[in-house]
Amino acid sequence: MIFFMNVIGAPAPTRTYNIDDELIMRIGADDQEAFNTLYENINQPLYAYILSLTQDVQNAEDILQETYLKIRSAAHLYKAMGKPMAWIFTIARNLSMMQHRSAKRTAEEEIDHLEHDPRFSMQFDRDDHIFLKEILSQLNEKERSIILLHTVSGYKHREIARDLNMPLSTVLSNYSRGMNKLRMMVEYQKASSK
Amino acid sequence: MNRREIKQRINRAVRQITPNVYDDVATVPVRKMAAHDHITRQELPGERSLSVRMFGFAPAFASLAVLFIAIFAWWQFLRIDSVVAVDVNPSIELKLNRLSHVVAVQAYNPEAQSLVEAVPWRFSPVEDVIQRLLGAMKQQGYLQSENSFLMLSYQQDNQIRAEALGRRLNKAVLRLKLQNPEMVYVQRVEIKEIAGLADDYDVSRGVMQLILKAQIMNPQYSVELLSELDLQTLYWLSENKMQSAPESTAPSPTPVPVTFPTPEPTLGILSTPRSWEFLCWEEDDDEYEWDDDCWEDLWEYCGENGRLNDDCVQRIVDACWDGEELDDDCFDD
Repeated sequence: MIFFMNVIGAPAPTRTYNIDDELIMRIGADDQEAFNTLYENINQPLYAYILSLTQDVQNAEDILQETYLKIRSAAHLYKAMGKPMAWIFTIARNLSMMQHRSAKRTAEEEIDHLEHDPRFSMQFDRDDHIFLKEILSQLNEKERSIILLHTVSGYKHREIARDLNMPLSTVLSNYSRGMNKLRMMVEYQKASSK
Repeated sequence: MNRREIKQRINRAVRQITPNVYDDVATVPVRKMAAHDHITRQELPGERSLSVRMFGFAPAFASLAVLFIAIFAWWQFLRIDSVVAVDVNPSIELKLNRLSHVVAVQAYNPEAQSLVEAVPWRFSPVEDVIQRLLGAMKQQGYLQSENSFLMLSYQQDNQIRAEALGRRLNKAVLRLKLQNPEMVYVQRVEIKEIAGLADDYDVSRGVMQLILKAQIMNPQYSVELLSELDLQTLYWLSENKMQSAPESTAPSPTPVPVTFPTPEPTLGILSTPRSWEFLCWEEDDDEYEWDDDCWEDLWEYCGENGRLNDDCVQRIVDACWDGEELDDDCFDD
């Protein structure tokens, strides 16, 4: 029952489409207001994307910070091509590939860490996090990225295709395949818990 | 849980753990980069189109690679590169790939067929297969008497590879050779067109070459007659060693005609009788070469209605054949 209420009470994904080339140029010119706008709009999808790459909460946070710093230090070099999010995702992806913190924490260690972090402890739901870890382990990287961007950030499939430089058909097929995997996983868990 | 519920739960779980790093990133001083590095580098439209173009070719490249690998595999492992004939009385031909592994076997008589079925040979090195065949032959009573005779013949067009194959075969029968040097004979098949003729007589290429050699040495015997002889007698005839053979093994002379391998005739005659062609094969450094001039002279003197007149040729043989070749000058006389 509690779980059901939680599901119904989940916030709807936010749309994040206020990012354009001009905003990045303004950041390049040290416009703090522009950076604030960027942060407000992309923090959720960017973190979801990085989490899909790293599958590790702490590493994802580190890379999230590094990505913002890279944006600030390179925004003045940005060439307007109409796809600022594609550039930001590329930075995040390159940083993820660079990171050498390969030793992943177990789910238990991670939950302990999150529960004791004052930024999360008030709202943190242990079951949700276990569920998230499980689904991250069930999907491949493409499926994770697409599903998290779509479900968490409200990105349309067409926008994901553009910003991740993928054909729309690839995005759609990976999304569909990933969701089917998750549904089967949930059904299996339900059946085995009975 | 349906799709919508799964999505909502993922959404909620990620939102719970999304950190707020604003204070760590918004105001800390950063050094402006002088140029893009490999992290921040933008993919420019030209570069992208190039990579997209390259990616577009990927299936074609992959298909070519698969085709290349298939051709290479066929060329290396399946294409017949050389042939080895093992003749005792059972007569077997081994077809070898480039690695000298046996890829096909042909048995020329029922005894050979039973041997082939008893011995594993597929993709085994040729020496191993020969050893196994010899072992099986001994078990079945072959190669036991002093009069037994084993002939290995190999056909390989490339000189260097032929020498290497010859060495491998000699090594394979070294023990038998040491026991009885007269028992084993290893020869290279040098007449390229011999396969068709061997098929006509249903003998191995090695035996066919021996028949041809024997016929050249003993023109009084026809190929048909020689093809009926046992291997050792053929060997003696081909080496002109009949004096060392038991008397009973000598065939009674039979007049020609004989049949010989021939290159395409150069005189443009459509129906070419083949009986007299042996007269124009010349032996040169253990190889046989076709003598066009000899063949033209024969036709000039004895050609009649699209065939050679046997009586005429016989007269030329009587007058000009020295046992090895026709004397050109004799034609003029």
